[in-house]
Amino acid sequence: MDREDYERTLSIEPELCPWLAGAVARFHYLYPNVHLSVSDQSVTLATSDDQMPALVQDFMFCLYRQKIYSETLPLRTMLIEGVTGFASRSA
Amino acid sequence: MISLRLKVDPLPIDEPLVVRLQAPGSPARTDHDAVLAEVAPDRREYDLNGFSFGVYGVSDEVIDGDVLMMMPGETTAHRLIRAGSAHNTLLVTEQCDQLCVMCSQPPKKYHADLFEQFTLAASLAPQGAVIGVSGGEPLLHKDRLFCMLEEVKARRPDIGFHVLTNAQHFSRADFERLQRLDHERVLWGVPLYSAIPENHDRIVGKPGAFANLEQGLSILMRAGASLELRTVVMQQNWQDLSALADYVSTRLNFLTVWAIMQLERIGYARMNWKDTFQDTSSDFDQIARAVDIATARGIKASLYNFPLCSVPPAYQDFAPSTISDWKRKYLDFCLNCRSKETCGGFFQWYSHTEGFEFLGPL
Amino acid sequence: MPVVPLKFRPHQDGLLLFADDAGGYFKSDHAFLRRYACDQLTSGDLAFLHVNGHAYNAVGDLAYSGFEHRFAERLYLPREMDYVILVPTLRCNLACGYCQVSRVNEATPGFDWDDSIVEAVLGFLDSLSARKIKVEFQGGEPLLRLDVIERIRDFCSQRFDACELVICTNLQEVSDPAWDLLGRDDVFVSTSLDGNRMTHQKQRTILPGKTDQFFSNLDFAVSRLGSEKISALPTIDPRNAPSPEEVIETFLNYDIRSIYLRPVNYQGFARKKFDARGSADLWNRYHASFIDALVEHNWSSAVPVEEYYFVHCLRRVLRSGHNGHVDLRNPNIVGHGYVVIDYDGKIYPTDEARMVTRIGQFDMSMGDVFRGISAETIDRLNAEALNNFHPDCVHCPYQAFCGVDLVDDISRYGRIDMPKHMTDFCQRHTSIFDRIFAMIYSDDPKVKKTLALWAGTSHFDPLLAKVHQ
Repeated sequence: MDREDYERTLSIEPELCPWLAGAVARFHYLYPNVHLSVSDQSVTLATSDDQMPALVQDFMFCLYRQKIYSETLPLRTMLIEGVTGFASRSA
Repeated sequence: MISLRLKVDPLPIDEPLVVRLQAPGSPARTDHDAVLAEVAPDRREYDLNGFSFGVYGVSDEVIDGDVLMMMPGETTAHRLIRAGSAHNTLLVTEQCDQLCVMCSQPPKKYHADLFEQFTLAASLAPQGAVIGVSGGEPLLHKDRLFCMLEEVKARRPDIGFHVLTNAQHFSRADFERLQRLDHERVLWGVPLYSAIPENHDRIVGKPGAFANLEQGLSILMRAGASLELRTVVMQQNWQDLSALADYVSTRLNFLTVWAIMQLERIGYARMNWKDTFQDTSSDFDQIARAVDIATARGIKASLYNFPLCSVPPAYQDFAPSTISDWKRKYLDFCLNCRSKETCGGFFQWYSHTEGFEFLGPL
Repeated sequence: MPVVPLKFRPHQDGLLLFADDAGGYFKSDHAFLRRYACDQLTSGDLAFLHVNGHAYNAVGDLAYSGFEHRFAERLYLPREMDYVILVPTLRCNLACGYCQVSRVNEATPGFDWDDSIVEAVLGFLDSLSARKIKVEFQGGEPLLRLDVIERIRDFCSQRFDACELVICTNLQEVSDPAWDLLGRDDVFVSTSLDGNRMTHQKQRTILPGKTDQFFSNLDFAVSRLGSEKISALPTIDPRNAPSPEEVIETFLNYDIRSIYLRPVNYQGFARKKFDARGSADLWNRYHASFIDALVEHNWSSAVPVEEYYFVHCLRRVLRSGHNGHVDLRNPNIVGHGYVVIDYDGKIYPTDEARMVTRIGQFDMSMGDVFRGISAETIDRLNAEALNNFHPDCVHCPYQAFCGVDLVDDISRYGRIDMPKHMTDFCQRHTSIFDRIFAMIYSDDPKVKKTLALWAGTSHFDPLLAKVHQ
C-alpha cells in the first residue's frame, strides 16, 4: 500500500448520511487515487497529494449532488414527461 | 384623418346589413356583393340584388372591396373593412371588466351583439387580410368570439386575426378550441404593465388581475398560441420596466413579440395625461434596459407608437411604423426628416405642447 | 415552494456559479449552497429563486410553465432534412498537412462521381420534403467538378423554393466560369485562411508561388463577390500558432469580422502528423489568449471582431433554442436534419463519421444514394446522444448550454462512455463556458464592451449577471 501522508476524517450529519454511499462511489470515480473509508456517520479521506482542502470541498459537493439529484428526480421525470408526452398529462 | 364612416342612403332594413362594394363590371360573387352602377360627382350608386343605394363623399378614395355595415334607420354606414388598408379592427363589444388608467376606449355598460355581422364581414375581406378584434374586452363574450374565429377559419383559412384581450377569462376548458385555431393566423395581444402584481392591478383598476393574467398566459402557452405581449410605458410603471423584462424572459419566453408602447392621448389617457405620460425622448434609459435584456435573451422586443426622433439611434431599428393609418399624422418639422417614410408618425390626437420635449427632423 | 434542481461549480472570487436544466443561472456563496442542499432556504432565498425562474408555487403555474418551455426549447429536435453536404470528388490540387478529409492527387482516377451517382443524387434531392435547401460542396477540391456543381444548382433552383449553395474551396485555381458561379446570388464561398501568410504557407500551400496564388485569389474574391459572401476559417496548430493579433489583422485586411478558430483536427491525415493526446489544454490556452486579444482590439477599434464559436456558446448560455451549430446540440441526433454524400455515393450522418469510417475504426455509413438511407446503426448511436442524465453532465452547470459529440469520442477514444471530464470535447467546452461566465461577471469595462457586442445588445445589463448574497 502506498504511503498516504494526508488524512482527514469528516463527520457527516445524519440528514446527509442516506447519500453517503452514493457520494463515495462518485467521488472514487473522480479521484481513483484517493483512499476512502466509511463508517456510520463519517468518512476518512487519505491521499499522498497535498490537496486536502480541495478534496474535502469536492467530497462535500459529491454528497450534496447525490442528495439534490435523488430528491429532484421526480421533478425531472415530470419535466421530461411533460415535454415528450404532453397529451397524457392532465395539468 | 381617414373616416371610418360613410354617408349613405338609408336602406329599408330592420337589421344591420353587411355589404361588400365591388367595382363596375365585376360579377357579384356572393349575395353580399353590391356592384357599382353609376358614378356622379359626389355620389356612387351601387346595385345589391335589385336594390340600389348611394354612397357619398368618396370621390378621391378607392373603396372597391370595402365591406360596409349599414344600420337600420341610419344615414352613415360603418366601414368595417377597408380593402386598401392594413388597419381594420372590429369593435366587438364596449363592455370591459377592467378600468385601465390610460384606457383609449372607455367601457360602456351595454353590449350590442354584432358577431354574426362581423363574421360575415371578415369572410368578405381581401385575400390574406389580418383583422383586429378589440373592445372593451372581447373575451367577455368568449363563446361568440370563438365561434366567429372558427367560422371564419373554416370559410377563409387565409384570414388572420389580431385579438386584443386582458386574458382574464381563459380556462382549461378553452384548451382544445385554442389549439385548433391556427397559431399562425391568430395573434393574441395581451397587456402586462408590471411584474409587481399590485402595480399591474392598480394600473388596470382590478384587484387580482395579475393572478388571473398569469393563469391566462399559462393557458395560451400550453395551447401553442401566439402572444403579443403589450406594455404601455407610463409614469406608473416606468421604474418597473427592467424587472418586467427579467420576468418576461423567465416566464414568457414563448411569446412572438413584446410590444413596448408609447401612450395614446385619448380616452382616460387624455384625462390623466399629466400624471401618466412619460417623456421618453428625454430619458430612454429604462426602455433601453428592457430592450437590451430581452434581446440578449433572444426575445423579440418592438417599440410601438414611438416617433423615430424620440428614440436613440441605437434603438431606432426596434421601432416599426405601427399607428393605424386612419389616426395618424405628422408634424410640420417632419417634412424635412429623412426618415419620414419609415417613421410611424404621431397619433392624430397628439398634442405637442404637452408631449415629447426632444423631437426634430433626423 | 419547490425549487428546480440546481447544478453548481466554484467560480472566481470564492463564489459558486449555479444553473438549472433550463439554463437559468446566478452566482451565490457556500452558505447558500449549504442551505440549499440541506433544505434550509430562507424566504429571501426563495424570493430570489422565484424571480430568477428557478422556483414555482404550483405545477402548471406561469413560473412552472415558463421553466418547462425554456427547458423544452433547450432540446434539439431535427426537422425535415434541408441540408446536404456533397463530396463529388476526393481529388485535390493541394496537399495540406492536416487534411482531415483524406484526399487523392489531382490526376488519380476512381475517386469521382460518375453519371450514375450524379443521377442518383438528384433523385435523392428530389425525394426531400423541404421547400428550402442548403447544399454544401466539399471534397477534395469541389471546383475540380464545376460541371457537377452547375448541374446540382440548376436542379435545385427549379425544384426548391429557395436554395443556398456553399462551396468549400481552397481558392487555389479558379477558372473564369468558376468565378461566374461563385458570383451568383445564391452561392457562398467557404475557404481556409490559416491565420497569417507564414502559417498558411507552412500548413497548406508550401510553395511561395502557390501562396501568392491563394492570396491573390482571396483578394479578388473579396473585391468581386464582397466579404459578406465569403467565410474564411483558420485551422490552428496550438503548438505552432500565429499570434492572435496577426490573425486578427490578416482577417480584417479582407474585411472578415467573424473568425471561427478551429484546432487541427484529430482525424484523417492529421492523426498521423499531429499528436492529439493532451491537446485540449494547449488549445484552451491559445483560445483564451485569442479572446483576450479580441477584447483588447474591440475596445479601441471601430471594427469589432468576434470569435464565431465562442459567440455561439455565449448565445447558447443566454438563450434557449440556439441550435444552429451541428456540433453543439443536445440531444445531438444526427443523420436526420442533414447528411453527407461521399465520392462513392455512400451516405454518412456527419463529416466526422465519414472519416471514422474511412480510417477503418467503425462503419458509420447509413446507406447509399442507390439503395436509400438505412439508419439503424446511427439511430442506435442517437439513442445515447443526450447529456441530461449522463452521470457527469447531470451535475454540471453548463449542461443546458453544452452538447454531446459521440462521433468525436469514438474517433479519439474508440468508445462513447468515457468519463466526460476526460474527453477533449468536455475539456474544450468547460474552458469556453468558464471564460464566458468570467466575462459575464467581470467589472472590466473592456470586457463589458465586447460582451455587449457579442450578445447583440447595446449594453450588457446587470440583470443578466445576478449575484445572490
